[in-house]
Amino acid sequence: MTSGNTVSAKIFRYDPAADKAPRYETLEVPLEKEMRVLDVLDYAVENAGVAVGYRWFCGVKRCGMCGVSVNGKPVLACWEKATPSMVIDPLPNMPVVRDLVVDRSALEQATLEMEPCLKRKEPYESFPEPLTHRDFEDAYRLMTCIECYVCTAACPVLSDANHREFAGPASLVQLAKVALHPKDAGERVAAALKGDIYACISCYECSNVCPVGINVLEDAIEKLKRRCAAQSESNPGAKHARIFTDLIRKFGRIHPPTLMRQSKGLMQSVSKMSMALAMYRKGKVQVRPQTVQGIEEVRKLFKAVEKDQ
Amino acid sequence: MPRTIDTDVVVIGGGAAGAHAALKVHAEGLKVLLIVKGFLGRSGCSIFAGNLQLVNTKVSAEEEEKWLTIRTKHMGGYLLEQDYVKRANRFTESEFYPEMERRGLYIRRNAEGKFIKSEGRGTNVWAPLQGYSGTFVMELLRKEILNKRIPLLQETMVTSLLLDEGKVVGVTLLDILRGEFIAVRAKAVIVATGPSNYLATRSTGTREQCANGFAMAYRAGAQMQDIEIQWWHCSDIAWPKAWTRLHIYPNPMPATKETVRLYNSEGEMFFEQGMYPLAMQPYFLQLKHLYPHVKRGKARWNGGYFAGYTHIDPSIMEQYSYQTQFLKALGLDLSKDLIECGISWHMTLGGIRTNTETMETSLPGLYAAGGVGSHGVGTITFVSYDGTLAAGGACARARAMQPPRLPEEQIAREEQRVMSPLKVRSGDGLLPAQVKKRIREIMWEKMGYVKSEAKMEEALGQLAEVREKLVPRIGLDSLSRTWNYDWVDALDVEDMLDICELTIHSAKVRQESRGAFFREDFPYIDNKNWLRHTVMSRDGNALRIETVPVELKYIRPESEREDFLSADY
Ligand SMILES: Cc1cc2nc3c(=O)[nH]c(=O)nc-3n(C[C@H](O)[C@H](O)[C@H](O)COP(=O)(O)OP(=O)(O)OC[C@H]3O[C@@H](n4cnc5c(N)ncnc54)[C@H](O)[C@@H]3O)c2cc1C
Ligand code: SF4
Ligand code: SF4
Ligand code: FES
Repeated sequence: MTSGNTVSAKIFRYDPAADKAPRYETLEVPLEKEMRVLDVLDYAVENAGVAVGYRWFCGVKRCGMCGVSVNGKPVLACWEKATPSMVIDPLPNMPVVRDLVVDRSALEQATLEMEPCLKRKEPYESFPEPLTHRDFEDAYRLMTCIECYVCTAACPVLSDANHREFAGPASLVQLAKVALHPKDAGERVAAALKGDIYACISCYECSNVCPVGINVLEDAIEKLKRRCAAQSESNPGAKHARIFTDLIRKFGRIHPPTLMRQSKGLMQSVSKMSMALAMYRKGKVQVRPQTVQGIEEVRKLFKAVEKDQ
Repeated sequence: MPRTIDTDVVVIGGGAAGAHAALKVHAEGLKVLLIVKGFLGRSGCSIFAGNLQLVNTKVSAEEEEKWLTIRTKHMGGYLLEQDYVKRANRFTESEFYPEMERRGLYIRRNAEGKFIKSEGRGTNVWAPLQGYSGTFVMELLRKEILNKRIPLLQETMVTSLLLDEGKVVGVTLLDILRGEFIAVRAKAVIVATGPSNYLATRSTGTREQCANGFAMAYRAGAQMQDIEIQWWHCSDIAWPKAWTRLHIYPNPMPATKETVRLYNSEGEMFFEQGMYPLAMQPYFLQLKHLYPHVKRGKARWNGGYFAGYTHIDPSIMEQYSYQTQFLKALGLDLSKDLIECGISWHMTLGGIRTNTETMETSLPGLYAAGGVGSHGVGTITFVSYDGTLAAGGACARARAMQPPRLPEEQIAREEQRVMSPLKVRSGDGLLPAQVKKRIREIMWEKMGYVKSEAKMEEALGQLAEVREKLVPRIGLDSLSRTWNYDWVDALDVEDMLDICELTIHSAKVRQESRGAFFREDFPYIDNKNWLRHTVMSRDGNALRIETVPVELKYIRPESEREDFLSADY
């Protein structure tokens, strides 16, 4: 029963301490100009008197606390536009505290174990320190990350029970932020390996959902992987990284099945088949690697970079 | 007795003031417990700071005087303590920037390594993207506190201050996640709960800014100062509602000819920075210019007027990627489209009255820092200074003291009060959030930018009605103690009602207009009689209001009385 000027919202309700099972509560909300998902939730409580629990603070993509899943996609409630028909669930990959409120503490702990504070090579001298925007370009791409864990919620590896030790994209971004700071001298490779960085199958899901537009895979995770590869050739993950680069050189994109086959061996890729299948169904992977348009450009780039090195 | 925790110093609030205080107490080697109703560095107003001012008062006496004037006159309406302003400016340049840069703060530079600044006055800088500084400052402070494993309770609301023989000896708290009531014993308490700016329909504050800090301090007997002087933002986006805190002015490009311009509903421009080149943050002046248009029906306080960047090269706005992404998401083309705006209730100039050298309040053992304090121009660098000062004062006290005795009877009474909202609503019952909404509506309609005796009386009447008719209907949906935010809302309702009423009483006393404080029935700045602070305190169950003179050490207004609407401050 959705008319043009209402929003029909089906909202997840669950209090693990009191309810036997989760349920959905559906309500019709008058559609307002440019309404956001957060406005719908506010309306539910303040106007309709439906006591749904949800977190928010800033309303403008700064606090990173309003993540929910809308029609299956992890989003920020304050940023995502409301649509006529929505199913609003808590973010996946985290335990539910109540309704849309999730427990992020395990993920935040994973971030903390990365020691995401700057460790300077030389003691800090005085303000302003000599630095150009060029020195900072790589770190700068990650600076607007507000640690909302929306990327982590979207990561298929984390929904796979075999990969509980994977730190997840949001935590790796925190690590990359300091690792790419031009003054940092921390042991970042060790931290990345401890966070099982090579469990990442380079599916771009994190980059696709990031509400602030960070290319999580390329600008954070790949940069860390490259550093790992350079510093520890013996690591199985490093081999994976090399194969990854070779694939891009050949096809202009990665192809998870080939990557898995070549780098981890057949048995291991078979164990991941269910995940690969799910991704395939969603159109994320093709059975045979396909070359992207403009592959010449990609190859030119590789040449240029390799010449630089 | 509930569970108790022992510490040397409690810090309430996880904004820039609280974070600086906690770090400093920890560095001094004392035990600190940081308690945050929301999340450290994610809730509260500090994340919103967009511009950082790169002051350099060391270069000359003129530079120092310029900054004193900007802060004291244009931001504080001459009610600020001038020595404090000078000291805070110096802290900003000699401690805030170096310490933040040491932690990794990157201030936007160009390819040659020079800071990118707003032109003209050349003082605004941004980290790392224009309009995003506070978020980044708070991220670094948060990570440092977590990394140092400083004891921290998040999603935990402090509900009251504990007193023994007139001294503050701890706090009580409600753990929102688990629904547990806890007492904390401490030798000193620093309240840093930020501005109380979630009190009107359109407000700049975050959900937890419901005046808890004011309320707990006032109930414990602390003096409050100038809480009637309310700042308003003049150009926050009108819709979507969720984006109220998107400030279209002065971010970006404050105090330059590129600063946003304001237009009424008929497209006539009524404000541009060139009218007041000296006013860095001309919120007050924008409001004065908006007022006649609202009167003539060519604008409303919550919409029907517009901000625009059509006078500048569109490529300039591209650099301001934080703000621009929102406007793009609305499909606006900034080379020709205007942005509909509304005003919003912003920070209070006053707050809990303190000594500006130690941040001590009138209650022994209680220190107030940042937006909740009484001396603020509220910038993130100033509140950081406050936090550092308060920590110094609190540490000195804690070192000289034995662990105090906890007042068991008061704890039992408070536990009862905190538990009292745990009842299920009946058929015509209301969720506490619905009553909060009503209170915010009353404050918006009757205590907005334009005040008068008559409207304030109406506001008091309507708030009394809320107490009588709506509060008894409040109930919760469930008695679950797990993250039951309705329960928190119910506690907020009490604080909001008390503080909204106090604000009105205080506003009735100030019979003049000044800065962001506009009384239509007294439309002049009365420097002869009103260079004074209002000071309020609790006297049993009665309210005592006095006024005390402001000390004007270096600069003072030239005339005794000025027409409010035409004055340039
Ligand atoms: C929209 C906006 C734009 C701004 N722009 C700028 C700018 O451009 N430049 C600038 O310098 N400044 C700006 N400011 C001002 C500045 O950001 C704030 O005034 C300042 O940072 C306040 O810091 P604070 O630490 O005092 O409080 P806050 O940062 O508000 O922190 C308060 C903390 O107290 C907690 N708290 C509240 N109640 C309780 C309780 N009962 N128990 C436990 N914890 C509690 C909250 O959860 C929060 O963590 C802006 C403010 C706003 C709102
Ligand atoms: S690219 Fe890696 S980290 Fe990102 S979602 Fe895919 S598997 Fe997870
Ligand atoms: S990278 Fe993007 S999605 Fe991930 S935590 Fe940061 S802001 Fe959120
Ligand atoms: S409410 Fe803060 S990011 Fe959405």
